[in-house]
Amino acid sequence: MDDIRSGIEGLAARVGRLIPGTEEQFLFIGSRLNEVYTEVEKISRQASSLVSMLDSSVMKGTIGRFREILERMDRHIGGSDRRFASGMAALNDVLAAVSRVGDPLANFRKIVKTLKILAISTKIESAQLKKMESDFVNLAGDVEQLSALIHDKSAGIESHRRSLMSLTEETLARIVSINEKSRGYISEVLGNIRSSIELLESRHDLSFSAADSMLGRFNATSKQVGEVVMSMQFHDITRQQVEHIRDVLTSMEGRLYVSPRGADDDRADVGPVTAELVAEAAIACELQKAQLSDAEKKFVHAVDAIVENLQGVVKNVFRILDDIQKITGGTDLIASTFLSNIESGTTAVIGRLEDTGRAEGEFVDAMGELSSAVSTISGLVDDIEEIGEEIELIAVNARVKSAHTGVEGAPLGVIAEAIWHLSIDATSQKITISDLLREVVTATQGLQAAVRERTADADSDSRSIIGELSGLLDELKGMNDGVVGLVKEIEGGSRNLSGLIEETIENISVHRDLKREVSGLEVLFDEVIATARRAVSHEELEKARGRSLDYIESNYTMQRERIIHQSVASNVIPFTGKERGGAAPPQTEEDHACADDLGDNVELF
Amino acid sequence: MTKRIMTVDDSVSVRQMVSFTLKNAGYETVEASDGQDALSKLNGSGVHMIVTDLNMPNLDGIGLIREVRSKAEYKFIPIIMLTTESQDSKKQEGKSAGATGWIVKPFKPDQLLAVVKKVLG
Repeated sequence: MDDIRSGIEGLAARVGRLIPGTEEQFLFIGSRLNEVYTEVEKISRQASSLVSMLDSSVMKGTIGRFREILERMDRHIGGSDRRFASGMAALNDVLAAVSRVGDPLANFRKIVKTLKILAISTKIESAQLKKMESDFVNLAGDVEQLSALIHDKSAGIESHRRSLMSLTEETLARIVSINEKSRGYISEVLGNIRSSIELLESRHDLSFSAADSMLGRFNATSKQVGEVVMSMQFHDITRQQVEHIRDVLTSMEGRLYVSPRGADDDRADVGPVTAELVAEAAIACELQKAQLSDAEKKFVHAVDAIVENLQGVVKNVFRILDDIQKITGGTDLIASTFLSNIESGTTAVIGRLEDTGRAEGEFVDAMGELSSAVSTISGLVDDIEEIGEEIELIAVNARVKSAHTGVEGAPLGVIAEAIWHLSIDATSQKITISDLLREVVTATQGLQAAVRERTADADSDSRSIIGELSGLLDELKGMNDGVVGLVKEIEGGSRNLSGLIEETIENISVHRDLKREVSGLEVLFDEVIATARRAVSHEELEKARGRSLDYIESNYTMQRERIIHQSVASNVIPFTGKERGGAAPPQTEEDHACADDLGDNVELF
Repeated sequence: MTKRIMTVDDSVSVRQMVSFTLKNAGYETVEASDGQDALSKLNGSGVHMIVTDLNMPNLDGIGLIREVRSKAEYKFIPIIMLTTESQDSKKQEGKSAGATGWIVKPFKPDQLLAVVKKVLG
């Protein structure tokens, strides 16, 4: 009997030590759960802010304004193209007109040549007349000087004409180059910005579904935290069940204590250890083993559920991070985000618009240079006009001198006539050149005025576009910085959370410890039960099982304990409804009351 | 105004979970380890509701309800029993003592919050 009694005494002592050591870990988990929840709440708020930033009217407005500004840029670039085309056409006209000036200038060269011949002819005829009067000598000298003067003047005009042509060609080439460079680049950049905006829009659409998905994940996380809260209560539930086991074992051990009795032992209920009591001890141990096994299973299941749900929280948080990356474009957001593409594209467009503005300014300057060059040539044409008048005077002088010379001076009359014709020709050429140059001056001045006016309008438009683009760019930068900052914070928070939970889980060993201890206790229970069974007959055991065990049942506070009790008392395997060695009616765990939709375990009075 | 709820339980971990649930839902909490402790903390605490365990040392849940109901100030304060006990006889005992409702452990946070919302209005 002593073996049974001491066995039960040992069991009671070890069962009593089972739970107190486990509470510290549960309180640790509880405090960590608080930190986890705080972190999850923080991430939830950050994720909501992120979704709001990307999924709001602000984003729609930004996209709309970008589209509008792109259309304005298209119009602006179209206007710029037309200005360049019109400028180039006008410059080509100028170039053609300047080129045409070359023909009358060539005629001047012929006039010079003729004048030189006439000067020589005058000298020859004067010599034949042997009347080298000073008048004829002077006439020949005048004609010679005039040919030299016309040569110089026409050479000067030709030189300026060539410069003007060269300047016009250079201006044309520069304008073509600027236009092609800006046009090609801006088209490419605008294309990129358009693609980025489309991407931005698709992200915007995606953010709706991702936000829904995120909401679902946060709900799942709340549920997981709820499951942890529920599982945490199993410490108290198990503690109560284990305390009841300890109380039964202590009580049974007391009843088996028969000798030796000390002087201060005043227990009145202690009597001789009968076979009946030993059988009862065997059944009580069988019952407490079942209760302990159930308590251990519930406890281990609860701790497993805590671990599983905490791991689930981490998984969910990382899924939320995936959702966020879907919205923001993933790692692309931080490296070369589509927003950065827009930013760099916009910066490039602003730069090009500024370049185009400068180029148009240069165009105006070039027009100024052309006007100035044309004015200089016009001055030279006035000189030619004076030359024409001089030829005319010389022709008149020659005619007069020829008439004074009489019949012998007839050849000189021919010369005089030729000079006269030359004066007419020179005047005609001078008129042609003057008309052409006037045409150039008019075209150039008109072009300059038009370009200046249109460039001023374009410059104003360009400045307005640049201003709006800069503003939009600042908004995007702010938005981008906000998004990147939040994503980094969420990533950091997720990593902290993951670390916190992993560390918490690593420190949870209480279920393994309890399981190991309970396994040892089950062996001890089996030993005590086997010893007791050997001490009494099968009939005694079954009688004991059939007897009321009210004193044990009255200790229970949980329905589950009562079911296990009834199962053992009726020799049924707990929660299976199967009789040990036969069938038994099915049993339900608990009869639940239900209040509204609050759950089976809630009742409001 | 933030509502203040007292949680009474001899299990620290249960008090921790009740407080966790209520605080995260925006309620203030006061903790007591048994009925006696609860009574000592109740006076002048401005508590709007009590959530108590049944089996506790010194003074159990039923005793606590009776004591609280005897005070004019707390005659109508909602008191919810949160216990592992699910026997109808015990529930009747609690109801007779003046309990407002009964929740069998373990509770889900949503359940507790729904009950609190319902009884506090």
